[in-house]
Amino acid sequence: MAQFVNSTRANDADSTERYPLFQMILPDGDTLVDERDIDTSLLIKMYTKMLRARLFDQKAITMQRQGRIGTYAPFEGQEAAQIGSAMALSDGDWLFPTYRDHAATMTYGHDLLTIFLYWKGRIEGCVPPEGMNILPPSVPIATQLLHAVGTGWAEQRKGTDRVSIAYFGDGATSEGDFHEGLNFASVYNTPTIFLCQNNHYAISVPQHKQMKSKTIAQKVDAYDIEGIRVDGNDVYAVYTTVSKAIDKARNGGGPTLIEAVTWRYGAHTTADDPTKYRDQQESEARRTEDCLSRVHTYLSLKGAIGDDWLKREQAIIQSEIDEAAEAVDRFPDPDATVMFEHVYQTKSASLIKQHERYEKEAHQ
Amino acid sequence: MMSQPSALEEKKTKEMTLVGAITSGLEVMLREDERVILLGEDIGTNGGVFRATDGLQLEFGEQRVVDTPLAESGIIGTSIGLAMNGFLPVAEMQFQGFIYPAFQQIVSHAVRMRTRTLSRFTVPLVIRAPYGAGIHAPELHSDSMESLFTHIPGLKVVVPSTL
Ligand SMILES: Cc1ncc(C[n+]2csc(CCOP(=O)(O)OP(=O)(O)O)c2C)c(N)n1
Ligand SMILES: [Mg+2]
Repeated sequence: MAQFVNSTRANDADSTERYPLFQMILPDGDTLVDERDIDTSLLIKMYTKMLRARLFDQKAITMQRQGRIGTYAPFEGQEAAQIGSAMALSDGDWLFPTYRDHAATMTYGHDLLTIFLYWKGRIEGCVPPEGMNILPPSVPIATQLLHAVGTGWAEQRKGTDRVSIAYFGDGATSEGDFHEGLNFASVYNTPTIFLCQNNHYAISVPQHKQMKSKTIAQKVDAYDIEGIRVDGNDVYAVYTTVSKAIDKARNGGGPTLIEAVTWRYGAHTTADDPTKYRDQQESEARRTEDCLSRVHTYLSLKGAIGDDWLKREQAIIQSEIDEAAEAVDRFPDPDATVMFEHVYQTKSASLIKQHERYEKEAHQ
Repeated sequence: MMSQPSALEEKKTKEMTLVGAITSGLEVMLREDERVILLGEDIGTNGGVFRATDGLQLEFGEQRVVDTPLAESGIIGTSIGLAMNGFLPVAEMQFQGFIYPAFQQIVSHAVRMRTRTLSRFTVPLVIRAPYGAGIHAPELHSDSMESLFTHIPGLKVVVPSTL
């Protein structure tokens, strides 16, 4: 058999070595960096936001079971990847979430009521606070990466220093839009952060069936942009990594792909039974690497939070969540005529006709 | 738009081919509104395979008439982002028969963003896609699937023609 003499592949270092996992705070609370690099008061803020997200997630699952909202996509386990990244953004930046990225959107600016409304099938759940560039959850996998390239490109052309961040999963990296997004961002050097949460599953399909590459970060090799692999359960490491990538993008340095290695403890959505495709006991064992508990351990060891801190914070957050949940129940029914609005800037003749007919017949 | 008389008003009636009329329309819009940006495969140096953008890159530069990578979903998806953020992209699909990779972007996002966000985000995007036979092109180059698109709310389908 002929040999490919010019092939560099055989000599290449293992991709997990070329893209080593960046970590700062380990599961046991130990650190891999100088402790002066960790701002304790910022870390407490991150912990509070992660706690809020986790309690929200638990409430949402309960509400789905009670029939108060529809199908819901839980994110428990992925709080650090979402919150560490969203906290690195500034006002004016563009955030493109998926259906699982509510920890990111609530950190950047969505209120809890809006997120509950989204899962109740309400269009109001897609609308961000005035002036905030938070897009509706992207449901068709990987399509939002290209939008983040486009809005970032627009900022670059306007000469601002704003950036776009697109959230997506491991499964999304098989889609054409992932590759087209990376390629367009590379060609136009757009200020775009591609934040992949590798939770190792796309519904039921594990990573090793999704791709042969050992890492997702290495996929940048084809596009000549920077790729980084970070412990997605290490909120401070995610924050640090994303902050650097954003800083680079703001200064004309172009896009970065960040693979945040994480895990979802629960089901893909409330409509799915994960025991059919994975060992849930093994999944539960992952809690030893949990993103909240490692921060709790670190802060406790440092004496930065006392014994009663958690209980006190939980109580405050829980009442905020319960209030939002009750507000969803009380939220007024939609006005059906809204379906005729917001289709075109100027209503077409046929839409006007449909609207008139509805008004006539709906009240007969 | 600017208050100066447009190039169209100045010119009055003039005889030209359909594709020439499209070039002229694009030229007018590029001149009148700096938010207008053209994207597509081979539309720059080559002026498009049907020459619809002939000479426009020379006149308006590579920033306004952009030769993109060969990826239809990428062209429309990126244009959606540009349109949501202050630009007026005009994207060329080289042949209507090759618009299908962009179908998801068009149906799920371009036409729906306004509705989904109660008009907070809008996508003022023009997509041009040549269709039909008569140019002796190879198979699959002559698809006329415009009727598919007439069934999509939020989209307007326009066919230029003589009176
Ligand atoms: C284009 C497209 N194909 C299929 C689906 C159905 N679907 C929804 S989520 C999902 C898995 C996505 O996995 P991943 O990208 O890893 O994200 P995760 O759900 O793990 O956060 C699939 C196949 C979809 N929403 N869009
Ligand atoms: Mg996944």
